[in-house]
Amino acid sequence: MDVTVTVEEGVAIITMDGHLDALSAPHAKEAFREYGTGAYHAVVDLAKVSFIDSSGLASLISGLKTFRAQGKQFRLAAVQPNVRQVLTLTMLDRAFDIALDVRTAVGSIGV
Amino acid sequence: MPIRELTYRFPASLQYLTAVRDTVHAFCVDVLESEAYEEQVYQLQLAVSELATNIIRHAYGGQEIGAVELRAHGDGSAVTLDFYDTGKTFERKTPTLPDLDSLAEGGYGSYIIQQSVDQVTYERACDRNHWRLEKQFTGKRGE
Repeated sequence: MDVTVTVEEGVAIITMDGHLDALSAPHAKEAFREYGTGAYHAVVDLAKVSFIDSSGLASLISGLKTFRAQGKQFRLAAVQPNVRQVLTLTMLDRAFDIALDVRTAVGSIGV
Repeated sequence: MPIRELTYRFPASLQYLTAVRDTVHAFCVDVLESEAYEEQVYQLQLAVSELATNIIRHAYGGQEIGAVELRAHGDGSAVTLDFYDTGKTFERKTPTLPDLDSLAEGGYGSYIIQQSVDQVTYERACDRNHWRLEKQFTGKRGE
């Protein structure tokens, strides 16, 4: 899985591409740690993530806790149906702020 | 309805997770003779990913030693997947979801498996772990 980050007005837009599973989850966590030091809010663009399992969920929870601990927001954007299904199944859709797309997510943070 | 069987043996390494999921997807599309069950096939792939990860991490301790054997059987409306490994015995508990407020970073896998297939069974026999996942594919083709 590829992870790329762009910074825009105090928001780190973390874009993932591929499957978010036990193999790739450490890469996601690494990005969350790197940008979750208090300087930025986070928007995680999941438009190109077609698969997620519990290891991938764990990485997102890790990110949420990392940014929250710094008093920053952590939002998911463009969640695809397969990924939404897993979030709903585990009821974690209630734990995350989820936006329709990246623009909406960034706009709602209102930096 | 075609009857298909497949045996796929892979090293106990996370590097093979995608290949296992892809193999199960291809098998399901072949045996179901349709791509109309994508959501249900995804659920089976999800269970497979969780189970394979558990075997690699817990039965084999994540040391990338050993192998996992997958035997698949499908009859056109149902798929049965048998997983065999020679790792440590698995202590099975009733799967439950972690408390949402705790934001636990683990404990979802067994619950996801249970919810994603119709039947999950486990036995330890002849020094091997044997997991069976069974899934019925329901609904009219093309829906």
